[in-house]
Amino acid sequence: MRLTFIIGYGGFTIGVLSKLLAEKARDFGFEYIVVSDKVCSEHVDFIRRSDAVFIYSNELPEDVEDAIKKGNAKLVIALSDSCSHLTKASPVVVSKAWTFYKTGGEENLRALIHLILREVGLSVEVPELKEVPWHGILHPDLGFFNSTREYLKAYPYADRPLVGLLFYRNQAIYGQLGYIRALVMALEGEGLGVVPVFTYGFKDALLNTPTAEDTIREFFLIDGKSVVDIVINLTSFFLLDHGRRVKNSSERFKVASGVQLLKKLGVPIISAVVSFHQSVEEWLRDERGVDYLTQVYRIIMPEVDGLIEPIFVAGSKVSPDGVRVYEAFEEHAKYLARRIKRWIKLRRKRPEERRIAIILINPPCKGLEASLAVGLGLDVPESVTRLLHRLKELGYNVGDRLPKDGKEFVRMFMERKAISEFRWTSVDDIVRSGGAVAFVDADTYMRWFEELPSNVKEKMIADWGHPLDVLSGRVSRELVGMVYGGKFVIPGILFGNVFITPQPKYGCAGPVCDGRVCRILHDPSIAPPHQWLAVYRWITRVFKADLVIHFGTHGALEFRPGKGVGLSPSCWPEISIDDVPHLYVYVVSNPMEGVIAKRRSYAVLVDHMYPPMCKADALDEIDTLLNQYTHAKQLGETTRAQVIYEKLLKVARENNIPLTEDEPDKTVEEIHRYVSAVRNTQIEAGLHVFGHPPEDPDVLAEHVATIMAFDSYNCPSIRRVLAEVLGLNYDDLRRNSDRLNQLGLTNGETLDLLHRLAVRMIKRLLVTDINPQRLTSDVILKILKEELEEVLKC
Amino acid sequence: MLRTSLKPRVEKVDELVKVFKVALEVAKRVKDCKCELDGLLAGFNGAYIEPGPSGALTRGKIDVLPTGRNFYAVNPMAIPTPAAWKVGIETAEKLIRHYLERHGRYPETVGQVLWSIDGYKADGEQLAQILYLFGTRPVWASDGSVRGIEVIPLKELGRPRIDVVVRISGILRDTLPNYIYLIDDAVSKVVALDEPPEMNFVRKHYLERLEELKKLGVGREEEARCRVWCSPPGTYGTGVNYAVEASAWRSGEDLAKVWVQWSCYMYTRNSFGKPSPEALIMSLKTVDLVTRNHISDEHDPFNCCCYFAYHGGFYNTVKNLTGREVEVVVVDTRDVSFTDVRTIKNEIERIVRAKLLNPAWIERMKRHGYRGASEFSRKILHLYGWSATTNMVADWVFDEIAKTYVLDDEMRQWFEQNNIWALEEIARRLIEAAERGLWKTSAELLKRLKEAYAEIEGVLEETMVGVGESEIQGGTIRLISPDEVEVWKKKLSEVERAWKRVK
Repeated sequence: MRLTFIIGYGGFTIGVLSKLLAEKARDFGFEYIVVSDKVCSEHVDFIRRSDAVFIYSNELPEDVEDAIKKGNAKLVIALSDSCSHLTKASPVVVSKAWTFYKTGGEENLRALIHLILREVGLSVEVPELKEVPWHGILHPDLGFFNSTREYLKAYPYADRPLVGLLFYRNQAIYGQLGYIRALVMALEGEGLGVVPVFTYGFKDALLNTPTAEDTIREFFLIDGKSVVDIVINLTSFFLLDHGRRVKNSSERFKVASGVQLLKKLGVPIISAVVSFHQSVEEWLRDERGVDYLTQVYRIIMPEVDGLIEPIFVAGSKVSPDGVRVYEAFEEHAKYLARRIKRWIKLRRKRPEERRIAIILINPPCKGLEASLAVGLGLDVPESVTRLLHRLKELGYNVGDRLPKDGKEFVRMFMERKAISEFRWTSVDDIVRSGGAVAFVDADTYMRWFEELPSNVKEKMIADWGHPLDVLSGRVSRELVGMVYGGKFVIPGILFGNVFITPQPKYGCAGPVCDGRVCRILHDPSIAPPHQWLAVYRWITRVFKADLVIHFGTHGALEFRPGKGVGLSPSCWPEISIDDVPHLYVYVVSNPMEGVIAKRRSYAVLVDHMYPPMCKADALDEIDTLLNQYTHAKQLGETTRAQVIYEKLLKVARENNIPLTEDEPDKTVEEIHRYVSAVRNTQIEAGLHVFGHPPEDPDVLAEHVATIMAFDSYNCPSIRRVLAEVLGLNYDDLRRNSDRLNQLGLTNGETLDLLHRLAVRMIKRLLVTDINPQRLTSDVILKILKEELEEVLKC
Repeated sequence: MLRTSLKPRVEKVDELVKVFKVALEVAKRVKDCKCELDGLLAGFNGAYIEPGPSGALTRGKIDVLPTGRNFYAVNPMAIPTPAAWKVGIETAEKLIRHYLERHGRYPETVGQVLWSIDGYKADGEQLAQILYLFGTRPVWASDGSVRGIEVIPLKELGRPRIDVVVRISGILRDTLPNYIYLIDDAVSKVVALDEPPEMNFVRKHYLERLEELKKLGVGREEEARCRVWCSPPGTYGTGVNYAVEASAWRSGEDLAKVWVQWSCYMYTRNSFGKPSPEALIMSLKTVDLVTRNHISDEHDPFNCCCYFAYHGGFYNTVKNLTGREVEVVVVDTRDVSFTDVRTIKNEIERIVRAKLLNPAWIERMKRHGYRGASEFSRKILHLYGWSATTNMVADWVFDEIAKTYVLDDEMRQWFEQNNIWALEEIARRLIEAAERGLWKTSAELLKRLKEAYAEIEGVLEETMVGVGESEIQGGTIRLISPDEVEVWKKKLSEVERAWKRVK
């Protein structure tokens, strides 16, 4: 008799099954194989001749499927959906096998083998199911606990700040704890305590297993309060339940209700990356960092639940028997432990003790003195000033010389020249004007420099010269940046415990901007210059920031050289940010750069709205002429049309509208197209101030009508809906903006009218403060009629 | 007149209620952005910050508000979506028509600037467009994820398969590598088809290139097949922005070589950043049209330097390489029901008029003082960048910019009070444009501009310089090209060599 076991998903049970099958084979005299899905093709002949096949795998190679279909097996138990069509067994047997296998552990796997042997006709008894906990605490040295209270009684470090670990139960019951041990040791080594919790991770309909949410509730909360200060999640996919039955996978990329639980827990949850596809070696060599699927399952999906800091902590490789074995990347276990210690320090400090560094985006290439504190769509000076005042109210130490507004904020920086050197600002000026808060001398810098991995040091020296040579001016001028009296200058202003600094230069050094100095232009992979490192290290090591904030969309940190995603200690964003918690204020309309900031600089984003928008409505005069022309033409007033046409041409030329056509009608169409493209442009009405959205109903109504002007996949254009309610053909209005319609207006005029109508109606509703849920057809029709009359009057 | 006929149609009223409920919901969510500060302060406490989606409000993604959250991105596995696929087909057809109408033949190769915004905010419309140009289509699984690529038979396609050369962004490379895989799969399938060269430009170019590469001894199948190019691993951008902003170029060819140096890295299923300047330059030779999708007005081509550096830089490279006239356009999908193809010239002027020369826009920005001024100078710098790379900024545009921002007394005073450095940057770039011959204007205007600049320089020297002893650059423009800087010249030598051999 022959038995085949094909075990996919990493083949964690292969070891235990092999041992058990060896025993049973001695007792009952059968042949068997236990193989992973990756190598099962090598055993096609055996599989074809097998009497029973047990499959736990997502997909099988074609030849193996074929062998099973055409082979001898009378009993085939396939436990995954994708292979279930191969099953040859009664539902009762399948569900029993499922229960044994999923519950797992040595005794249940033995029971599974008995079940199979019985089904192929041997006379064996099938034992009862042995319960094995679905979730619990498993400390590598202390063993298993089924309650946190009990664990904490036994745990010697229970009085330390506690870190929760969340990992898969499979790893707990099949001896895959190597990298968990590494993490526990690193954390305990930093003076922290650990609550290592395993979970089944999702709801099994048959077995009623706990989800991660259940496990979090059970083990990280006591009396509704979190017992941990931070959690490291080591499971894949979403952490929270996103409805496994939702058909469209993208529908699951929504905020889950479980976010409420995480809010209640109230601690940062780190999404440490464990690769299922790369060994530590392979990852270290890979310029991508982690592979695509690891990025999806371990980074992109956890982000949907608010998980942060995707730091690579373990890889995996397949052992000779086909089992995938995890291996820790020890250096990152320690790095993560240091970061966590800083998070906890931040959490436990009182506001007045917290030290905060705010980095202002200050791209030199845009004219450094002209662009301090930029950020897409954001008035950063005003936003930071208001933040400082708020911090003061909350008891933070922000000193006693706060600027009163953004204008004064900028004035303080520019008067003291608290910026980097550039065209108009020499380093002497900076120092003498009071723009330097500190200096970093050679000894201090060398200590930091020597910590860097050797490949990083070598590259930095090749790119920028040796730091001692830079500080003593023994290298050419374009390599020397922000050096004064043999020290690196740290520019910025201290407001009590808050340090505000412009982001240092990243691809050039010194006060000059030209093709010689622009070193990044010569070499895209260039390391940042020494002063870059000096500033970032000064923030974390001397100023000892508890928190770093990059304030405004798109700085240089997240784009420094290194792996793509899943960084290593040799990657510049990781080197720069050191071990300090990192917040990044980012515009919500920019997921592109935002995800890079999250993944490459370990930032927790705090997003803000894009500024309110409005329609551009430029070129009024031409627009009016265009409409007059169409009217005249339609009414058959040829002479008048001709006069208007001439005027139109004149004004168009004066306004530099490009005219390429010869015939009047085509020319008019060309002008129309050009003008309406401009007029239909949605523009930002100023900049946003963080935390201060527009409240003026006029601005708000214009904003809402503007952003709803176009058809999208999610919602029809508000103008379309109004047009259609009024019996107008919206598609025609859009396509032929120079034609007259049944209103006696040009289509272009009508579109403008519909926009104004939308604005007025929204404003009306806003002013009356109506509850959207109570909005009835009677109310809206009444408003529509009244406002329509008003806009038609104009 | 007929206006009395505007009687609301009862059968459409439900739609009306629905859309105004959305409008009110948006307004409410905007007001709720007050909680941005709470989100930030939660971070100060080291607490959990709630997640929220990201994307384009102008495309109906109202759930991105309220902000103050830690945003996440989309499901990359389900790109393009079936809805975006339709837009992709439509825009591919419009692109082809745009070229056909002007040149009487099909474009052989379309150059595409492809960024991650396509995945993150436009559901993969541009990816769909590219796949359709090849004459391929995505195959979806029942859960909406894209399982693979399938070839559309020529009979069904009814036109030749158009070749595409894609310059992706580093962000797309790092965070949406599935784009690379899908394009590579499509190309692999299409080059293997037994079809006549005039109906399959992809295969035609593949075979020609294979021959040429072998002759030069610099590559084989993979180089001939590669259609996706980017900067070296771990780096971002095309370098052209640095060259333009640092005035580090003398000719369009200088900029072209920088673009090639930063773009000649292959990205396929098997290669992650293997350099091949020869294969890139070869593939640029057949480009007839260079395009990028514009998906929402929450960004504009003057927002950041990447627009001119990627897109203008691409066009400039092809033009300098081939000496041919090449079309350069944007595909506008802001309104998914009314997609459009616009020339870059018109696109530049659209934004110039809607923003830079629009008094309403200027007024709003001025309220933000220094920060508003930096918005002006940055956008004008990038406008200049478009001029440097495409020469498609009309003279009148620079005339009006000069008059509005530098020669207007009130505006100049405003700058002097708020951000004189921004004014200096603007005036200096205008002078640079004139001196490079990118902007032809009257002697009178130029004279006034230079006088104004001298005055600005005077103020700056008086207020900014003095306490220190070091020399400063001030407003000096130092034109330097690659052959004047030893390290740079060395870095560019491979590109120089390939350029000469392939050209």
